[in-house]
Amino acid sequence: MRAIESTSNEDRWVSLVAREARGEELTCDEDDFRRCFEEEHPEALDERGLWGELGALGDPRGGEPEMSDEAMLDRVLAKRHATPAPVRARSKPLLRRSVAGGFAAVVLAAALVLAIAAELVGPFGSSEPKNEERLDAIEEAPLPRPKGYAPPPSPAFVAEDAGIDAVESAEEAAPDLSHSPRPEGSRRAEAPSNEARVAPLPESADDLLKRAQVHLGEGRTASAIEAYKRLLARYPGSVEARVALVSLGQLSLGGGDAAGALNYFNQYLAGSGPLGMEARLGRIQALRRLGRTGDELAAIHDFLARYPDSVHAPRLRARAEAPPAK
Amino acid sequence: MAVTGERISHFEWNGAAIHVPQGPGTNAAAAPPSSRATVIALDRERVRLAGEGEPKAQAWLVTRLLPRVRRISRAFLKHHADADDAAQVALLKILRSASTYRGEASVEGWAKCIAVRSVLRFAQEERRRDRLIDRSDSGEDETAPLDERSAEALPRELRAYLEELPEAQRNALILHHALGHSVDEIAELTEVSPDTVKSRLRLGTAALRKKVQQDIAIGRRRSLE
Repeated sequence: MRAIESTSNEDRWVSLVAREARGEELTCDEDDFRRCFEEEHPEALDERGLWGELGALGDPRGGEPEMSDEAMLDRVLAKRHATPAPVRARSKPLLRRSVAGGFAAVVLAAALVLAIAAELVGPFGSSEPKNEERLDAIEEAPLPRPKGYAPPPSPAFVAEDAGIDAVESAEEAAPDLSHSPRPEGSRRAEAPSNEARVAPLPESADDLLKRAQVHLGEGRTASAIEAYKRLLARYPGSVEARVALVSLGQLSLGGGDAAGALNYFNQYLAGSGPLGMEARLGRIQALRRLGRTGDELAAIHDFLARYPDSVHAPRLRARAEAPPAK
Repeated sequence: MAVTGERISHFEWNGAAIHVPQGPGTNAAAAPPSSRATVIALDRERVRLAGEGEPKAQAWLVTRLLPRVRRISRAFLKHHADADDAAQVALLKILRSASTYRGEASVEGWAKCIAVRSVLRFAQEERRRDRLIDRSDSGEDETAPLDERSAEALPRELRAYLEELPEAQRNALILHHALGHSVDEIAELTEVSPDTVKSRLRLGTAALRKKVQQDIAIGRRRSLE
């Protein structure tokens, strides 16, 4: 492929090739332009495959069949009807929460002022609110949260298994992480204090997880393991630590420590979470490397019972049916 | 369920027959101008009912948007299962947002924004998870074998090249070429200026072209050895 001269004509040609690949019909003018351009720039033909493939990227794929439209429709509707979204299920953003809190404080103060005024004016005040109304006003004003109040962890983080439930929960939780109740160990869940404003905040679970991921991305495995271990030690009950268990299991497997990996995977599987499939798969690999064939087969059967349609299932079935090595 | 071409024409949901009109008049953009206002009003009413939890209206909305949403999820996600999950998450998001539809844009235009943002977020999350979990031993490579590819095929799968681009450039290229969004639409969807989108498209195009050229050159050298 030789580079063709970059011009607006070339951009137009690229767009037309991609549009054709998307299944859109070109006008006569557009078709003429495309043919003329390809005649003038024969080297452009080398690039047709590239831009054509890019245009067709959203097409249904061959090979492994996707979920049918019908099945997807059923699942989405069933999911929607199974879990109707509560009107105010989500936490409000911090700013709106502050405004609401401020408003509530004003209402509370106004109610108190009215109550005092009513006491002073006595029964002759024409605008005296009834006792019931005053009580309502006071009751409607939410009480301030006690210092150090930490809301319970979001159920999004304790989804039972991988798949749409966990995926949706994670997706739903992700955009509001800065405002949603955070699990233990998260910096955002901690009540700000005067000390915190002066002294640097300790690394949160989220910080440690991100740091480990950055190390991993840069290929610094040892640093990543160290960060994961620090996360486990410092915030053992956090969601981030649960993720770290699976990552540490994978890293231990990669480093040849199958026994260590098995320990991490077992720890993860003792609870629940969205990485159940990955943890079970890792556990099978660890058992295989440890030569615990019986346990490995049991783990494979357990995996296949839980995830019969997994992409790993055919390989694992073949493994389970293979005659034992002599 | 009856299927016309690749689209569902009617189906049953909880015992109720749902009809999804096909062809002209299905949406406001395709309707003649005289009936466009009626179609928009009808759409707005149906989406409103979907937002209120009316099962038939929800089924109508999902069926109507399913092909578009699936196209978006396939474009951004490599694995079948991930694309299926992302499409479902996006459709659920659309259903939950139905009460916010004001009828100022077509149903498709309104839903597209929600779907693209949802899928982009899903894809970002998947990448983060992939970095955590080594999938090298998973056997999930869905690249077609070389002998199944056409003569125009690239030296490597297109997704492999896209993966090597910065995320912003990759997203801009997919939104523009695979999903047909204009520069202004991409700017709105990704919350950057149109000039930034143009720059990302220009840089992404150049980088993609260069990577393919390098592979072809290497392949040619190899064939000469």
